[in-house]
Amino acid sequence: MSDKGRYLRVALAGNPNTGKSSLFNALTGLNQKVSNYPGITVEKKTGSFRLNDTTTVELVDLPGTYSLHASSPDEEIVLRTLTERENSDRPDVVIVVADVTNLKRNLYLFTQIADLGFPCILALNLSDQIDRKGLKIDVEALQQRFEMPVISISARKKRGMELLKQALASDLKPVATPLYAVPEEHRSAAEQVRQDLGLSNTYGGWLWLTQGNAVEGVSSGEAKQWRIGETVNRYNYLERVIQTHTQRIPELDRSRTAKLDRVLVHPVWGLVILFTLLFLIFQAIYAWAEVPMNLIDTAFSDLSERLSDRFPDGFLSRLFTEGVIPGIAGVVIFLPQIIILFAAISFLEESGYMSRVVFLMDNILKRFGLSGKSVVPLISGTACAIPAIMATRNIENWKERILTIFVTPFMTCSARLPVYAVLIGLVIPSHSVLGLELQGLVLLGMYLIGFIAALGASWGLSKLLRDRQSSHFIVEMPSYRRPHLRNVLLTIYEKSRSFVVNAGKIILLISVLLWIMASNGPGDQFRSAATYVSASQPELQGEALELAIETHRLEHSYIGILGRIIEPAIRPLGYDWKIGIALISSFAAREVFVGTMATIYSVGSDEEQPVLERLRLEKNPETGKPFFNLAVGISLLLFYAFAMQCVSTLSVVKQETNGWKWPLVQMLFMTGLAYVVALIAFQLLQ
Amino acid sequence: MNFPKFALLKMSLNKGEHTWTAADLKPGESARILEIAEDRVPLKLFDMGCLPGAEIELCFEAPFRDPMYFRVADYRLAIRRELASHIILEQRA
Repeated sequence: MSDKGRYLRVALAGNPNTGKSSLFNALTGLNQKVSNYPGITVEKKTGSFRLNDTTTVELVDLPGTYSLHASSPDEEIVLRTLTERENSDRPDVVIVVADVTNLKRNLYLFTQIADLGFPCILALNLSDQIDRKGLKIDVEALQQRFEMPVISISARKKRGMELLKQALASDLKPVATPLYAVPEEHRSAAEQVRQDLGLSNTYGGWLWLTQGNAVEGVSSGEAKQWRIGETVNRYNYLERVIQTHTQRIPELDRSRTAKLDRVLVHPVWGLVILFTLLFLIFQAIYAWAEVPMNLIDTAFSDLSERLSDRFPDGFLSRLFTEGVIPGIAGVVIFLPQIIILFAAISFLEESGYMSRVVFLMDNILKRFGLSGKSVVPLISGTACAIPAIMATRNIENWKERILTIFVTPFMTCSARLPVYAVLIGLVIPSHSVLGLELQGLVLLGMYLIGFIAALGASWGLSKLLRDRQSSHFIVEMPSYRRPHLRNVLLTIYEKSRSFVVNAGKIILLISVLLWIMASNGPGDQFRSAATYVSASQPELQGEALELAIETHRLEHSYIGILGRIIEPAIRPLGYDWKIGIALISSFAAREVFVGTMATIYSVGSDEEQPVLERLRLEKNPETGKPFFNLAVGISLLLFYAFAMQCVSTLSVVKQETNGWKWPLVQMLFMTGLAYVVALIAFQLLQ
Repeated sequence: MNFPKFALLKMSLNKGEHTWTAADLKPGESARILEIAEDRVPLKLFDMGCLPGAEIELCFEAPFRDPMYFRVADYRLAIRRELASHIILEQRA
């Protein structure tokens, strides 16, 4: 290997909220990649940068943690990466990022990592605040005490980066004597664990020995006691270090965060402000995103039209202009909402406000097995489940996160509205009740049903799902900070990119598949639709004839055949095969229901009003009365409220849970529930 | 300041008599932590430096008075009332 090819593997470790991500972004810029650790849904951030002419640094951003005791999947990743000798991410050097405002707790993790035998660099972040906060740190003395480089940096302002790189390039050594000695009586046991698990040193063995249940013969209570012994020992040591090497002028900092919190976590004003913010977020993804979404829609259909004019008519050209291009449009159309929601969310996270959201909402949401953070995805879900489910990424607890992902699609998203509008207009009389419009009340009721279903399903499921990690609520309330534009932009970029490459390709694939099924059929009925229509309805001419042919084609396409096949199954819900076709084709997106109904009933326009007028005329062949009576209408409304009728949501759930298990369970559960509820409603009202 | 010895943590709680815990604090009040019921409290809280000898102050309470927002060992922390009731405080002078 040539000199130019030298790689240095560096890991970034530190407490949550220390600016670790800012440092990662400052060092790697766009040269970073987000993936998942195999088998679990913990995000893995890697990146690289050039250190000097001879060396490239490969940087891993480890999940934020307070110690090397693992109580969650992310913390276990940190423990494994830093203790296992054969771990593929095992670093050569660890940079521990420490927040100077609570140095003691940050140094606690630093001393643990140093004791694992890594050459370390201690990066003291937010250095610009040291003086302002009335805190003076003797960096030189700390460096001598720990025998490691200690460097003041400001990750946001990119200060200290050169010093950090110089330190990385220098000859780094691990500590000579561990800062905490594994107690004599446990040393041989720890050594045994080290050998059994293939760990790098005895302290690593001790960490696994005291992990509780990780090693046979040690009860978790015993392990916990040993570990608390280590914790007390380290904090006593660090207390002396802090006393000797730092000077604090107390009471200087309490000001800003405390003042803001007096309002922001106030039992009344705090909630008013929170719900105002949530409403603004909802408004932004519901209404404001519509402008760019319409632009995208128009741009893509223009493109389709122009291309279909240019190419000779044929299967390939139609596949491209009617299948692939609208399919791509169906992916890109979500980007405005994703961008807006993640701008808002990274703003909330970066500023430190998200922890207050958790604090304010915990009491209510814990009853349903959800996290305080679930409130953001749930509210966003009333606009669209796609960005909302992506927004669950920051819920640390696995169970709370899965529950939120699972129930968010019950919230009434905007794609259900056109469906509801047609159905309500069809079967609910436009009377007013107590001065309130009945149709409006039913629509409000549909929103309520979605909300109750979400919370109810979460409550029920939380009883079934086992906890994978302790569900204790321990949340740090970080100081408020001005959000940093670079971090916000990188989050938005990364979320959009991962949506397009992961969920996007599944959405594209399935929508093309659905198009092929709707625009192709076996047999003569499909191919020679025009002949059949002219033969059976010779009076038709012009536009009416064309519409009738289109209807005939759809009826005999693969989707049409599928609609007939499922008819026996949906007949007890009051539906015929025509509704069956609409159900299947609206799997691409719920609002497609209206367009499909328009084609099936040969309505020239896919606007809601004309479709509604036509459906009103439809008679039940057996009874001669209107087909769309109250029972059918309510049954359909309830079906659309509960059923998982959205390929894009399933794709994004697959992306976020890292597998097909959860999207499949979710689809079976939601559609099963929809079936049962619609069945009961129809049979009762009939 | 030094933290009390490890042995102190092992003291079990006397169930009968009322103990003064972090859950009893009123907003604005502070006290020193005497001991923590280690079988009830996750290690994470210890790891975060919430240890006997540290000063703890209740800053705010969420709607319905739960969870509770404390200031302890130079930073702010929210925990539920139930967990706070396992943090035993020194009696007020």
